Amino acid sequence: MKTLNRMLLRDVREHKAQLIAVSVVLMFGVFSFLATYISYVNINKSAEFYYDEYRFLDYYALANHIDDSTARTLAKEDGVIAAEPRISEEARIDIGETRVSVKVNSLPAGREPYVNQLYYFEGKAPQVGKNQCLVSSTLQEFYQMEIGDEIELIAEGKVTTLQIAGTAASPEYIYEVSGASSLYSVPGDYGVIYLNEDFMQNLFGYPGAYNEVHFLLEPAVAEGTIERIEELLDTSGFVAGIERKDQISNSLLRSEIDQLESMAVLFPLLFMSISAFMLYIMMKRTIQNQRITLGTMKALGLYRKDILLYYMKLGGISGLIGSIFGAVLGTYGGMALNEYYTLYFHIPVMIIDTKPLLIIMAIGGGMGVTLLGSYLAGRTAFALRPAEAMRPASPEAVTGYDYEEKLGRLWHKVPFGWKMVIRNIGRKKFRTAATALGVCFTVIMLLVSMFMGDTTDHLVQKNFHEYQQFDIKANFIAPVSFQDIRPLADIEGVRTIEPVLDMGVKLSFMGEEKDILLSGVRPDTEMVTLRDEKGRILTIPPSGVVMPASYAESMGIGLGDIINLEPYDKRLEEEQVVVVALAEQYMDFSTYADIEYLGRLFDDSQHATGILITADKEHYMSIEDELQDYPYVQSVNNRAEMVAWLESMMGFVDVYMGVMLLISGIIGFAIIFNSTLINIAERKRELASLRVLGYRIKEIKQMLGRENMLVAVLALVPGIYFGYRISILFGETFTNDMYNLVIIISLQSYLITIVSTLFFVWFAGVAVRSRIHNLDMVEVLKDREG
Amino acid sequence: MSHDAIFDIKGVTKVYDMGEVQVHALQGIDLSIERGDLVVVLGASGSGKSTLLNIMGGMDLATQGEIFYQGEDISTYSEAELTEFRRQEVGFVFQFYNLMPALTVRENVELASEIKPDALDVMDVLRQVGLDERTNHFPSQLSGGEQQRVAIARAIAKNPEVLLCDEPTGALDFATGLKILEVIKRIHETSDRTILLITHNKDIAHMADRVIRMRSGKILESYRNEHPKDPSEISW
Ligand SMILES: Nc1ncnc2c1ncn2[C@@H]1O[C@H](COP(=O)(O)OP(=O)(O)OP(=O)(O)O)[C@@H](O)[C@H]1O
Ligand SMILES: [Mg+2]
Repeated sequence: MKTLNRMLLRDVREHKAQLIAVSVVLMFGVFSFLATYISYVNINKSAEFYYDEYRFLDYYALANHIDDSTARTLAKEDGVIAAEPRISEEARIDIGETRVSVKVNSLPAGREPYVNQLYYFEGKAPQVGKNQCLVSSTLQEFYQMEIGDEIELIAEGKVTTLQIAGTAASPEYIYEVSGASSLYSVPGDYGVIYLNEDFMQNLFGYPGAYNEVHFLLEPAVAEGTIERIEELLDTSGFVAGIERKDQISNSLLRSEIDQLESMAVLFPLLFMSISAFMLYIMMKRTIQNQRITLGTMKALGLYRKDILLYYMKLGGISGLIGSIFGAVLGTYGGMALNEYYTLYFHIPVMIIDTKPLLIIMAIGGGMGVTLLGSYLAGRTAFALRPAEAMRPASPEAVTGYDYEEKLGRLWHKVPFGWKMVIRNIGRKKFRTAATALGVCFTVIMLLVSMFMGDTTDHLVQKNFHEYQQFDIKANFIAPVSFQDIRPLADIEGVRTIEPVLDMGVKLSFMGEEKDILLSGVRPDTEMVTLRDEKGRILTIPPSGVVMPASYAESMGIGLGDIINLEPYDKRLEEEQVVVVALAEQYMDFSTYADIEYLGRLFDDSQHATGILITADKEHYMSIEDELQDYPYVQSVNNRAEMVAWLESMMGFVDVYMGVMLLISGIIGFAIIFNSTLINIAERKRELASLRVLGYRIKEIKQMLGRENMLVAVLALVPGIYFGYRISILFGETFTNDMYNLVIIISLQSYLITIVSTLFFVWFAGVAVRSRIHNLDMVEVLKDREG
Repeated sequence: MSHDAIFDIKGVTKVYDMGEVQVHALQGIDLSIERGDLVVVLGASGSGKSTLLNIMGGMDLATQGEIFYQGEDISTYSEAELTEFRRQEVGFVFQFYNLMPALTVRENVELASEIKPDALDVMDVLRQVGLDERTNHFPSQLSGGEQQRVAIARAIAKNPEVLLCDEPTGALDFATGLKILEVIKRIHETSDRTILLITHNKDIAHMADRVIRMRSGKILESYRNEHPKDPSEISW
């Protein structure tokens, strides 16, 4: 079949623009899959590896006073692989002029921690007997600290000068957030430092004792073991036990990785299926345009398999080129995304792998899709009997739609140029459908790539402008009485203050459990505005609670139901409360109640764990500085930081979506370009005949332009509809315990989509114009293949 | 006169079902074609000539009836058997040449010769049709007559038993058409191939061993020419 192969080469050259467009579509399909999937697999693997190698905790317990012998008993418990006590306290440090909230953890005397082993970037553990510390790498990077630099630790009313002995990271802090009362962590705002055990015991007043135990457990017996551990810790003043899945950094990481996974699957799946489908249509049209060639091949007696193989090779070439380029780009893209993720996930042992198997799968998948598409297209074309294939008449012989009858006088009002356009569109159903489908897919891809951004904006609007009205929130190290808070109102720039009581509790209802935050605020609070699902403002009831509607729904809780609240702090009793109202919340989910009611309910005291402040933006910084001077203030966040935090949490989603938007644009254009190209190829004879009749090139261009535009405009409608539906479908996979996403596509996004799609259609038309100019009437009409 | 029939056609009908209308393109054809004859099929446009030729060449299926080719009923053939039949036995020449635009003259012929072991030498065949000088030209660089000669070369290169020509001169002027007919005549004389040639032109019938006239899907008349003329003796 030497001659056939030679013909193939010339066919390839002849159709190169078309085949390149197909390759581009496929290339970006493969690219989007590989890049996201490789980065997802890598990040997941890296986290697992980090956890395994550095022995991330399975469980940890907080208690008031754990002595050495208790710790040793715990280590001998059945199912416990290792139990390591430590002291962990919240404190603040001054780095030069800046005050930063930190977690201070103790290091076991004279050795490395066994559980949550440290990864050293630089330096070494603090020397015993010296005022030295380790700082977390994020803190070190943000403040450009060097080994030997000094920082001031402010704790227990004392200021201690510490020398930096090294920088380290721990699997406990892939996300470095305090988690105690807020998840907010703007870079540089929070960090972790490590001190020697004896140093910390002296400083914080735990002679020979600890307040945390970290465990490695044997997976099989973990359940019963935890109960026994908690019993054993009873005499030590057990406060709370946290399993790995609830550990704050890990649970944030998990939810991010879950999102990444759904993105890594959903978008490429969408893009790949669109690519595959368009590929099939393109091949089908290309082959249909060659019906006479095909008929002659059959008349000559070429075997079915040879003919099918011919078309499979034709399609396969673009498949091969597209897949290989897609794989190369995707591999690099995946690694680049991985690098980028290290800004969000602090995993020092990031494994950045190329995943040959995935690459082979992606190439194989891309090839498979093209080959299958060409095969199917070739098969339908082949089904035509050769005599049929040879007849110049095509299926257009079907009678045209009688516009005159259906539209009556209206039809007469249509200018002649448009009549022809409408007839052409109606007559060539398959061509119209193919063009429309290309436009429709482009719209869908563009919209789906944009909804995340709009949805995040909506979230910010709802959360920070409609729900949370406060500008600054300060969290206290320990509860503070209402009187002690009062002076804070006098800080310059502060407009109003209100106390807030935040408590972590386990909610249970009808056998279901959920960890929630309980917030006590004033009944007449001006700091949060709660609304029901109809948008009506809710007031804080004198007794009972207002729950987030999404939580209530997922747990089957209704108005008037009585729920059980078990504080994390084991010193407090479990209580039952009634659900008085349900509030729509989007993030920072909290169950609200009257602060005085909560105080009475749990421990008969009146105090706050933090304050909410309204202030002018220009005073944010000075207020924050001043707040930091109060000894009971642990951390301070302002609105700008919180929005920044949210945006950074969404940051990698944004970057991802940006890439997806770019890919959608390219694929969309390639599809539309290809469709325009095939249109011209398909109607060479028709156009040549028009030229012979004396039509001007300009008139022909105008006719084609109008046809494409009309089809495109009509296709926008289903495109927008399906784009919206698919966005909602995708959005559901992003909703979790941290966000309640309301899928929004802004008017602006719709406009961008419509304008860019129509621009693509117009530009594709311009790009193929030379083909109309260069149309050789004689040649086209001479060989009947039109 | 040998009575060795290469084709034996019995009661062949062809109905094109167009939904509301049914076109009876062939209405009961009985016909026997003898091996080695040059048969000319005459008839008005729409009389069913092409339909008959296509069915005989395994390009299309009859609605009813039997088509025996060398004793085998090809109307019962599967798609694969029909392909094999076309591949081994039949050469087609079409009114509109149907050359592969992407292949040169030589390659167009090679396309056919490659698929059969007993194919004729490509250059020999091209010499026979007088195109051995233009082997590297593409179809678009040739005149209609030249293209048709390539098409004939392509058809005979396979060394087929039967050559089916559907109005091979239909798109050509007199002189060029004559050249084509001469080529066909020469092929007939130098081999024992059976050739069927469709034409509108009564005069061409003079070169045939046998003439078949069709009208409205039926055979109106069929007779033998005792003294077939040379194309050069024919004028139209
Ligand atoms: N695929 C088809 N579908 C419907 N009708 C067909 C089809 N092919 C042929 N016909 C009809 O069958 C009849 C015979 O057609 P055929 O092509 O055999 O005529 P012909 O004798 O070759 O005419 P011409 O000399 O114009 O080529 C005609 O009426 C034609 O319209
Ligand atoms: Mg005909």
